Amino acid sequence: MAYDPADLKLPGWLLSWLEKIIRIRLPVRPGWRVGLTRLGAVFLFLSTGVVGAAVYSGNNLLYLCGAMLLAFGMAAAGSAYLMLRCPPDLARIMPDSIGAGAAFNLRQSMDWQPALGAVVDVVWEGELARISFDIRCTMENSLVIGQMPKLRRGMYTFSRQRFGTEAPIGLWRIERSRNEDWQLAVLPEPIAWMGAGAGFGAGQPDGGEGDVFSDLRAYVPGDMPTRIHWKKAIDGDWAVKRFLSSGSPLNECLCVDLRAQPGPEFERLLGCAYGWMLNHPTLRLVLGQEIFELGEPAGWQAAVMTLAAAKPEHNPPIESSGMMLSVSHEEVRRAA
Amino acid sequence: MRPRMMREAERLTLGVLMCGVAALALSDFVSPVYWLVVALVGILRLCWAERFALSEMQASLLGWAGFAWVAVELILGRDFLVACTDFMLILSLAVTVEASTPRNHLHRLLVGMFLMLAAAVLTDSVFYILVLAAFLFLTWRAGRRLYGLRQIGGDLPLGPHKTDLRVFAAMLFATSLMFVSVPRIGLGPGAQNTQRYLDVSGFSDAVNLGDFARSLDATVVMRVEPDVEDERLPKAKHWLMRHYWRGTSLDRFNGHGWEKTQEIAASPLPAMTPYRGDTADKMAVGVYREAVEHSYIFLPDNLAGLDAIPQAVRWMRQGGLKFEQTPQTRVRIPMWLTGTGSEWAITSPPLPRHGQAPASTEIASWAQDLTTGMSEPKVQMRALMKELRGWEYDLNAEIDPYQPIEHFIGQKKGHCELYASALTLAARSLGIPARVVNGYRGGDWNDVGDFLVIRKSHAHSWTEAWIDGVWRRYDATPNVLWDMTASEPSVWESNWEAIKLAWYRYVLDFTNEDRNYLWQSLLALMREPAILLLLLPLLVFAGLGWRRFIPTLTRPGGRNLWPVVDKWLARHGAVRTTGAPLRGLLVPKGVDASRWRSFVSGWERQAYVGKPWSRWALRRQLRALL
Repeated sequence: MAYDPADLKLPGWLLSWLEKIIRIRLPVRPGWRVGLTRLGAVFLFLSTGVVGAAVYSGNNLLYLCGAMLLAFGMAAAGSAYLMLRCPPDLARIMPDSIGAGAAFNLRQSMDWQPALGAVVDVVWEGELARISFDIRCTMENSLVIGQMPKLRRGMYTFSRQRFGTEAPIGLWRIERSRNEDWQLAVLPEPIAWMGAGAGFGAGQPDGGEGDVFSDLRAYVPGDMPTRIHWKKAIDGDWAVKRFLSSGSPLNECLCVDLRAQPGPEFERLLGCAYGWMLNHPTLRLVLGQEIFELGEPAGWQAAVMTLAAAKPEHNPPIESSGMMLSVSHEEVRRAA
Repeated sequence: MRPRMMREAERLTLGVLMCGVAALALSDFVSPVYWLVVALVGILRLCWAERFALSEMQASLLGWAGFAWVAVELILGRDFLVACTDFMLILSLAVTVEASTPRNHLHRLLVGMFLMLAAAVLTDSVFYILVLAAFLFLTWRAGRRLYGLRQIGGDLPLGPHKTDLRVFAAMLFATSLMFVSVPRIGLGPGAQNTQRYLDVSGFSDAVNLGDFARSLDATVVMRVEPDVEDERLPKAKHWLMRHYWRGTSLDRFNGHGWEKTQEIAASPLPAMTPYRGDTADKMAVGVYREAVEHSYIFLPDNLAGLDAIPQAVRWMRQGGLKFEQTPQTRVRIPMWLTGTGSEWAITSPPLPRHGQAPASTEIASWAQDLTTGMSEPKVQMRALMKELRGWEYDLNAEIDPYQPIEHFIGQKKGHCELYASALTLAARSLGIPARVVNGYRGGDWNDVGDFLVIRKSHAHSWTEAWIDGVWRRYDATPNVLWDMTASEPSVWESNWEAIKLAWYRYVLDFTNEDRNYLWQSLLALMREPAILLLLLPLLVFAGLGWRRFIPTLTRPGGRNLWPVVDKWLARHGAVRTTGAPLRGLLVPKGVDASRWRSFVSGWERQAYVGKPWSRWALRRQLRALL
């Protein structure tokens, strides 16, 4: 805002009084609070002075000026009220999931157009975290601008929204709280453990070139050098990787064994599982005690939410028909 | 700040300041040179904003120089009020030329506001309301412009005037509503709408013959508004057009003019009890007295009562009514008049000097000649009047400064002062106590607003003679005077006068009684079944208009339709977790899968790119699924 009374070189004591005044928020109705800005405080004093002068003098032109100032203030507050009366449905434009520990910039346009230009600041609170961002509204569109804080993996539910604005004049600070749930899945960082872009078994009737293999066999002269497990070879155990064929039932499912201690290895396990999910969005995932058909939207969504909220378990996976992934798996250990 | 936004802010804040200057310029106490200079500089700033600007320090020095200049003005004897307005305008000049900065914008808004408030005290012009309205609109828009600067993501565009005009209309409505609703308290005599005193000759303590009549023009000194039913207006007009409005009585002739001897306050006050009610023979009028330099209240000859005089007054033994302190504002005095004759008779007996004989024997012999054989004072007065009324009325007749009345009798032509003086002195020579009274007679009737306008040109002199224990009026001036003073105001002038009186009556002079009357009238109106029937469609229409108006302030895009969808899904066996998109849900029971997919596509389209659905449209879509 380009006209703050702090620009007026006011004495320090007056500014400190203004600071105290603008911290006051008065509840006007459930979920609504109103406060003053610095300019609003000056305006209120001025209006009070004019009304006082009118009452003292009986001068009807001063009454008219006082009424005009009050109407002006009411119009400013009323415009802000009408703006926040129908706040935007933010849940539908917010991301469903983000990566753990990664900065996420919000810059999303939406179809919420208050008639008067405004900037609305939003705080969305949940039990575990809170985010804040701004909505910049013009006649054409509204733009959500902000940055999500870096969050750890988990399932976050944001439920309490607090909108605040000083629009359209900058006299009043109108705040509105309401409940609107938004679930955010903060997912582990995906680990591409099947090779760059290679689908598990897809297009590799004879096996793939990546690091994912199903078994080892003894070296036979003539085997391709790329199939040799060189790490074991250094130890003197010459082995060759065996890859699954596309027709194998192991291709259709990944079973993630969640038996592990909480820690980096467990997170890597989940990262590997998520990486597999991204590469195989139509297959089946067994995550501990739950089974997800990723090809179905509901299944995918449930898998993502479960993955985000996953905790170490004591039981083996409920199913073991596909490829098994566990903390003891070498790829997971290596990633960790 | 982008240049375009900068220019907008510059123009709008300058506009606010110029509104303040224009409001102050309406005051009589403002020197035209000062506000013209500010206005000129304002125009230069608008045209060459960047080049024609002083730094903050230079502008500050200009303000201090203005302060010093005004101090010099005061030392040189300038009126304090005028010096104050000079200083305010010099200050606004400094703010006008100051370079455009956030602080300067605030300076302009604040100085503009203070000028508007100062003008509220220093003027009562009807143009004030126009300037105030412009000030309101420009301040709103300037506030929005300044709020939008330097916001996150850049300056917010101001947008078209259309929406601001709607808010402006709402603000005007709210202002009007509050203005008529707020009780008037008036704890002190403080800041009323001050006017410059209007110079009106003829009502001072000493009047030279000839001065009174020759300085007359069309300046309005009084407006009289009858408060009667419409059907009685013709009668009211007839009454008022014939009225004499009594001002001051002069009782000592000094040879070339009249003087007022020492005033003696009447005690007790004459019985003038407030009379309420509009009956066949009485009517209420509101008299609007301009801020004239003398303190007399002009009283009509058939006054029945007075009420609620806004300031302290003093009754005089000579039959006059004066303010204790001459008001520098326009004053409304409610009066009650009677049409059946004078209810108010001045019965204070004459002082010895009222019977003082003229110094000239020429006047005495003229009076004696005219009244030979007559003994009754009434008969004698009628004879004198009859003679005088046959003479010629001439506003520019030559006056002999040494023997004015003798000269008048000789040439038999002159104006009302000479006729009244001649009759008074002749009556005294016959032993009848008499005095000259100055006041007004008649006026111009305004057919637009149905009120009487009394101008300086309606000033008149007549004689009062003490006969049968009562002061009786004798007007010796030929009737041709009324033909000369009667004027036919133009339509424009009549309309303008009516607007001004409405402004005085309903804005400047709005009282608690008016407020109560307004509300009672509204309540009475609401009790009428016919009115209610008429209002009902209007209210429905207004409600629809309001619903149409509100979405312009908050577009429907933000409407939360999820509760409607969730409720429908629950009825059809589907549950959506909060935040989950429709696309991820199973097809609800009883719904065709392709229709469902089509609905989901439509839902997403309206949510993200298309025109948002209303609740009604959503329900229609949901019904179509089944």
